[in-house]
Amino acid sequence: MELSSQEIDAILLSIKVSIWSVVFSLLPAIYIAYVLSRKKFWGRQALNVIVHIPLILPPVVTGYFLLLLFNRTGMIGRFLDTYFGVTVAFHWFGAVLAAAIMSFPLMVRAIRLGFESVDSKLEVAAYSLGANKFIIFLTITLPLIIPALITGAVLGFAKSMGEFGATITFVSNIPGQTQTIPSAIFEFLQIPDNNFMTLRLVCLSLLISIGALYISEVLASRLSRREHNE
Amino acid sequence: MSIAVNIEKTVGDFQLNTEFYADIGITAIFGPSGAGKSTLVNLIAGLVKPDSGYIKILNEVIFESQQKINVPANKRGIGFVFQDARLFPHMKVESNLKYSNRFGRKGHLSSFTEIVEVLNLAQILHRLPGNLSGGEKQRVAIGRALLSNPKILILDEPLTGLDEGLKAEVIPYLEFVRDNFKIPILYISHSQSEVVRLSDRIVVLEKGRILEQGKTLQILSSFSVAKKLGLRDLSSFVEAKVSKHASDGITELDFAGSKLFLPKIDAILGSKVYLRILAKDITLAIEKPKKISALNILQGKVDEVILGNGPGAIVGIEVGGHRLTTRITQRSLNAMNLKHGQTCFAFLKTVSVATSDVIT
Repeated sequence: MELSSQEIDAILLSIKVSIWSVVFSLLPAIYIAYVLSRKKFWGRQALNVIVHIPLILPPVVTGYFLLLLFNRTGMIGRFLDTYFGVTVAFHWFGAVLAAAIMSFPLMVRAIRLGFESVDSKLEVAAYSLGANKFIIFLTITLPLIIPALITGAVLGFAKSMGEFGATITFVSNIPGQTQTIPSAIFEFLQIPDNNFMTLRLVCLSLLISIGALYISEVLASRLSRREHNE
Repeated sequence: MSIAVNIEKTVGDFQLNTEFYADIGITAIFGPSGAGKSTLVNLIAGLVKPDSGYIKILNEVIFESQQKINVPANKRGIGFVFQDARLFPHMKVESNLKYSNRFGRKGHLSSFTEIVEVLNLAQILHRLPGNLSGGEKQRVAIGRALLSNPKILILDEPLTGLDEGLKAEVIPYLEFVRDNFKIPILYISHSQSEVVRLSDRIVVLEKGRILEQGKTLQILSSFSVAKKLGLRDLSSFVEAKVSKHASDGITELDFAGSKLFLPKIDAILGSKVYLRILAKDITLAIEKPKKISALNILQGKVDEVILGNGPGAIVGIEVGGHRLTTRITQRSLNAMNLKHGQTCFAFLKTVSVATSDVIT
């Protein structure tokens, strides 16, 4: 029972896209989560709504907006094409962009919960010991939210693995180039009597997601054990 | 080293207006909850900005409203010990102690090895705060604050929330810090016994204002403070020295040129103890009685008589440089014809030793 090269390509691309999606959105997600949980400023609610838009819009609509902005005649696409000679639409990196945008609200929510659970009195204590606010963030706040960061990253990874609507709208479904696992499953479903390949891919997709969740749970519990017992 | 504070702050309908000065040693900031103690601490620490006034540490101005000087909290050089310790839960004790040296104020008021030794922390250096007892946490917090090279130290109710056993465990360390580190310490508390035992000076806060300030024993024994804190608790706080543990289970104390006899107390010979004598536990006589069961009879002079609105009166008696305050009825006052300067005898029915577990 050997996997076809199309399936292998789809699996590798999905993993690649999901990893890059998490890598690119982690820092902005930390920043936005911090700002939303700690700062009081005018337009905070507006920012909150904007971050959550991909969660409530139909994914196809998000993909359509991405296409409008990033195709060669779109606002950003034209800029990238003229100055860097890069086209994101119909390119695997476009799939990263779509996955990152779709998973961003989930990551922000998870990380924000982490920030809200940190006792800000500890930060005051560090401040009284002479540390500045940036150092306090790095040495106190960030280490204390590592479990939330792991949760956020795993949620983002899983969401990216499963992203379909925005991806297929934005970068289409080109085997070997932009075809992720969900797009491949979709393609196989179109072919009559292909239940076996479809099911196989579905199972693989399940395995990868459950595996990621398991690793994150192990990491998080090991961390919290280190903090509370030992 | 010293700190001078003269600040005003209005928060809602609460108004804080204080002026005081604290030198080397412990100055207690004392008052019931709601008196403005935490507001005052936050203002001095730099977490809240005063409306007007100044704060000076030695000669350095850290806040001045007119010149718009407002040194940020992390640059003020104020070490903190909080009621809830606030140790960093993800760092071992050792890293907690070294935090300021790595990431904050570096300095050499005291060395790491010295602090570990005097606070007896060697055994717990590699433990995480989650596994420490309340007393151990506070010891680490004290060490961490001392290692941050503070110009002054603020202890914000460090014993509140600890049970009596743990309090007794931490108090000697606080006394050691007071006696060996030459910095001003502000000790925020609402406990009379802690304040009596630890502080030389006291600032009594009430509703955002300073009611009294001065020597702790005198101020706490004063009528005006008792009137605010509750006359039921009106007491005299005095210092005495343990002179003998007698074989019949009585401890003898030197006090004001005479002796006091107490049921055995747990203190070493020659050590100082603080006594609390409730005003209602003192009986007065004009002549020295001959045969009486009370052991403790002191001779003194009436130096103050205050008539209350009800049937009671407060009589202050000077005994060898100390002051005892007693409550008697106005009827007895008239019957005995007590006058200012008159010699009298005070019988002490009960004397409490002000370790933290006897009075609160």
